[in-house]
Amino acid sequence: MTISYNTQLFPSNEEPLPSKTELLPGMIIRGRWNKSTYLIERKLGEGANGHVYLAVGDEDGKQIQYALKVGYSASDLQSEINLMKKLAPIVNRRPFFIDADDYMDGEDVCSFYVMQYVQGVSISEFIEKKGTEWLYLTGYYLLSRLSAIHQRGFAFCDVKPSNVVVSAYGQVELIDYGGASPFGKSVRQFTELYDRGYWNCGSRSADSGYDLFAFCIVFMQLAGAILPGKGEVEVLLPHNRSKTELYEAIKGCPACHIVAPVLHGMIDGTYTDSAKVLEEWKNRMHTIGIVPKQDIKIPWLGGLAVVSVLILTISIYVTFN
Amino acid sequence: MDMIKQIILVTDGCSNVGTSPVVAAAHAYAEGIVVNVIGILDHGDLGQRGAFEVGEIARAGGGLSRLVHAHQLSQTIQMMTRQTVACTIRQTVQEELKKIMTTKQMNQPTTDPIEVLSPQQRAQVIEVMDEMVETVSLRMSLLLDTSASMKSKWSAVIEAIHDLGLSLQARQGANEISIYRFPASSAHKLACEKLLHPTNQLAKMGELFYNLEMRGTTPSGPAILEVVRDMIQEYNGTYSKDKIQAQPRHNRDGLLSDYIV
Repeated sequence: MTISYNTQLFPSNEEPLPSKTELLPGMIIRGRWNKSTYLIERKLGEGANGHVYLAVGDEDGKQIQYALKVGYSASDLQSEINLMKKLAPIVNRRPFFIDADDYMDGEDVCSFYVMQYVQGVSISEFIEKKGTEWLYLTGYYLLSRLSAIHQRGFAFCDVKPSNVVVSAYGQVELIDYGGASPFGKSVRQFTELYDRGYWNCGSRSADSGYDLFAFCIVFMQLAGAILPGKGEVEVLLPHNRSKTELYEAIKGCPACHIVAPVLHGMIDGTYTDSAKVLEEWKNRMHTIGIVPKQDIKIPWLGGLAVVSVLILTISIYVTFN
Repeated sequence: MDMIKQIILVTDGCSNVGTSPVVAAAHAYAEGIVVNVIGILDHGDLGQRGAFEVGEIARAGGGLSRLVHAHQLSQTIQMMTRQTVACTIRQTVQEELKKIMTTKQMNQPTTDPIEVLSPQQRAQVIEVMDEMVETVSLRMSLLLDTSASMKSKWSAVIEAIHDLGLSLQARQGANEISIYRFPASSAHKLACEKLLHPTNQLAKMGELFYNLEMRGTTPSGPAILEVVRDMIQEYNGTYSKDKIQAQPRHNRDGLLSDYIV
């Protein structure tokens, strides 16, 4: 779960603190177990339990850019590594997850792992920049990523735009596997707005329906649906968070219409198999439309039609006389 | 470890009656109960003194403290509970590991023994720990400030109770939660009163706490002590005999109707 606290006076004694020194561009780290070396290029960002860097490493004699995450605590990071090992996909015929190791910073042991560097932007940025034409395709890719995780008996859980990276031509990768939970267990990490429990639409146990619900909210947001209470400082009252409110939002969003039955199913929790959802999504894309329907309203178009018919009539009349 | 015990104190003010809450929290910790504290910021009389106290109570109680706005309450309680469970498991495992390891393997006594393990061993240990987090029994008490200034935040509190119920229900391990409020209503002699006996059916309980009389002093210290006493008694007495989930439903309802003003 991602929470940002406005005020936190005392970092309490039990909290893992980002005590370890940050890595700087140009530094080289060497794994103490697997002996691989990585040259740090720059910091990419900060996650809930560590810093992420862009690093260059060696793969079969070639220099390759990786994303390298250094954890605040070895235990926390190991939990994520375990999940990555189980769930990370194959991307461009190479495993997404590359290496896990420790480097020594003086006496300190710093735990890190290495994954493929996906060049791209978050899905919300992508749609904003490239337009809603990409909506169904990126949605399809995201569903297929989730479905692959479901096949292994896990739910990704923290499905939200910032965890979904899209590269130039709409390919989707999930990042931050720290929230993934085995089916039947409790959801380990979530964000309120995308949480099934928060919307009074079901439990907080990990199953494929949990991810599909979160997907639905993400998709609705991307499609420009007006979610109830969006933008308010105070969160929604519980009675404003219900299936009916979400149905209404779908109804009022033209870009949602093509896939509306699928979205309804996601809200109702009628799907147990995400592979079926994927299939249905694809069918709807290909039979109804791959881009959102737009109501084109050009007021003078009707007039133009009348004129052209008139000209045709005149020309026919003239020709036959 | 058989069970994790925690108290979450939710307040928007500074204690002003009786024993110091910091001392009370230290007592709780000595009994193996972690004390977490949430200070609510909006329209409260928390002030600098109250904010400082919130941190001190949590430190004495071995727990976490957060100052948040009312609408963040659900998330905060949820997160604290999870953190408390995870940290307790981690500490227990670390201590066990330290016993096994020789001083040679640990270059410093303060080193986290997890870091000494090879990646393969580490992966296994963490896997077991993650499993324990999910399955260990959890016994928690929610201690709610019901002084007059809490009135405006009460709907957020009720929502947080509902939300906590959702999260606990999803856990595989046994959960029980009881709810107390302080100050007690005027008829009561004690500093706090029990609104809800230990239950694992929390999700539907929230609505029962509307219409509470909200006024009076803030006896945080005495209230913590009473909750601690209650938790110990329960643990030594009925608790060990018929374990968790043994609360008959009618009992709970009867009790509630007595207490709602």
